[in-house]
Amino acid sequence: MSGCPINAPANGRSSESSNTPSFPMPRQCPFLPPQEYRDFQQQPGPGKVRMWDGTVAWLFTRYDDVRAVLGDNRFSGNPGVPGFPSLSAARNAVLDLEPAFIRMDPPQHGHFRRMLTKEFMIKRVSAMRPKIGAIFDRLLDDVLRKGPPANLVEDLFLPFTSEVIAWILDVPAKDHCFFQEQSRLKVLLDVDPSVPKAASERILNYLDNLITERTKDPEDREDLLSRLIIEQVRPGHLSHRELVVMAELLLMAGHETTANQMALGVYSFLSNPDQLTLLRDDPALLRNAVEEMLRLHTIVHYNAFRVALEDIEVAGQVIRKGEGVIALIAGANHDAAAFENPEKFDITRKADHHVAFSYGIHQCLGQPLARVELQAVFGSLFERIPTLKFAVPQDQILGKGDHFVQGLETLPVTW
Amino acid sequence: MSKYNFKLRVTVDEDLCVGAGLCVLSSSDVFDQRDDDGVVKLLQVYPDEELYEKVLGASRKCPSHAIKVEQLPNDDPVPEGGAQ
Repeated sequence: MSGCPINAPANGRSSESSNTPSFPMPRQCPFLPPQEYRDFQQQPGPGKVRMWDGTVAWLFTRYDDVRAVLGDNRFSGNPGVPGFPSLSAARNAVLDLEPAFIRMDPPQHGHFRRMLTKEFMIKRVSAMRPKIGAIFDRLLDDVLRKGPPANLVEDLFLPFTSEVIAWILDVPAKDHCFFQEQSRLKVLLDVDPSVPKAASERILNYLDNLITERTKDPEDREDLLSRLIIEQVRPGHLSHRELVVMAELLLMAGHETTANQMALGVYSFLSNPDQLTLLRDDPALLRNAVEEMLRLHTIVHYNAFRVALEDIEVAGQVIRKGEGVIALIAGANHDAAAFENPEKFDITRKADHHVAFSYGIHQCLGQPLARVELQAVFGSLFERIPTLKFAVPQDQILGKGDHFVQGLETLPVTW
Repeated sequence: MSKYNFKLRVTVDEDLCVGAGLCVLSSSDVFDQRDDDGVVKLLQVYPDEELYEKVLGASRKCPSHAIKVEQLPNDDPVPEGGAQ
């Protein structure tokens, strides 16, 4: 199949003749969105898909339409609103727990998000570059010292991203393994709902205790949780429980995703050596290379779900109040109308208008941090290990395929 | 000699802003973020011409439509100073 780094066969497309194919639909190539998205993109208006529980949702796959939906707050991001589409039973179990602001609509959404925007704004995160770079260098030193082979996901990227977010929140180093494991369990889709639910509860309990302790002496500290305790909890804008839930979102959202993106970025460079040469010859391509890998992989590939709060017309179709909508960022980032030859990893193309971080008021709060971390990795990994290569045949490196967050199970490399 | 037959006027809506900072990435000459809450701070209401592409890009990329860019005829007088 053209564009697939392991030349997966193009068969296996959904042959359902019904007008409502299932969602999600399986990938043919583990590293590219399902080919069916292209069919949807050819049709005027949205498609219709059937979810696991039999309900039907509108499916938007074109770049302009996805931005139109996500940029319109009459489409609610609150899973509690009737008609909100359901991805899986396991996912429902996680969403049933107390919602962080990612699952709220205005005005509550803005009330909470605003408490955090200064923590992740560009200037602030840019000032963290030296520290973030130092964390990465140290972890890479360890990997090099142990010698090849290495599993970059386990040995480098997960420790890196979790150490950064733990530093920001001042979570003790001894607890990193614990929350990495809970984060891994939480994003499993094809499991009994009790599994991710239990992982979420364990994290919430842990953070509840941590924040209770932290409430005793926040003035003596410099982390994000202490600032929120002083500036928001004490004056009564944020309850203790709301802070716990917010902290869980930050902890979990911040590291599994970025580590997976790093793994997929390395995979793309190693399977497209011409692009690696380009980057080596012109390091100024780094920032755009990071945007391109974000676009190509769109790791939160089932985002974003919405439900209409009133009748709204999009792409010539009236979406009725209470109807579920999927505004597929993975479709948008692979829309040939917005990105020529979208399956190609091309670090020289204009990629910065991608929607890998989604779009609209819920667009990823942590994106400046993700960018700094990704730039730290791709600005130095190939320089420090110029002979980096896969340690196994490429087709043995498995994508996570149908998990909620795309990534690699392992990334065995040698040098 | 101006290469455009219009000039751009930029306004920002602080209530709509979610602090994503994409405008800053597009053009840190025209956009900044407030220290206390990360909300957009407009640095040039009538940006320099060489920044037009970046300003238009910022407006398109803004996830909450907080940036409005208007095209004005080039002969309208610009208030003293150009920048805000």
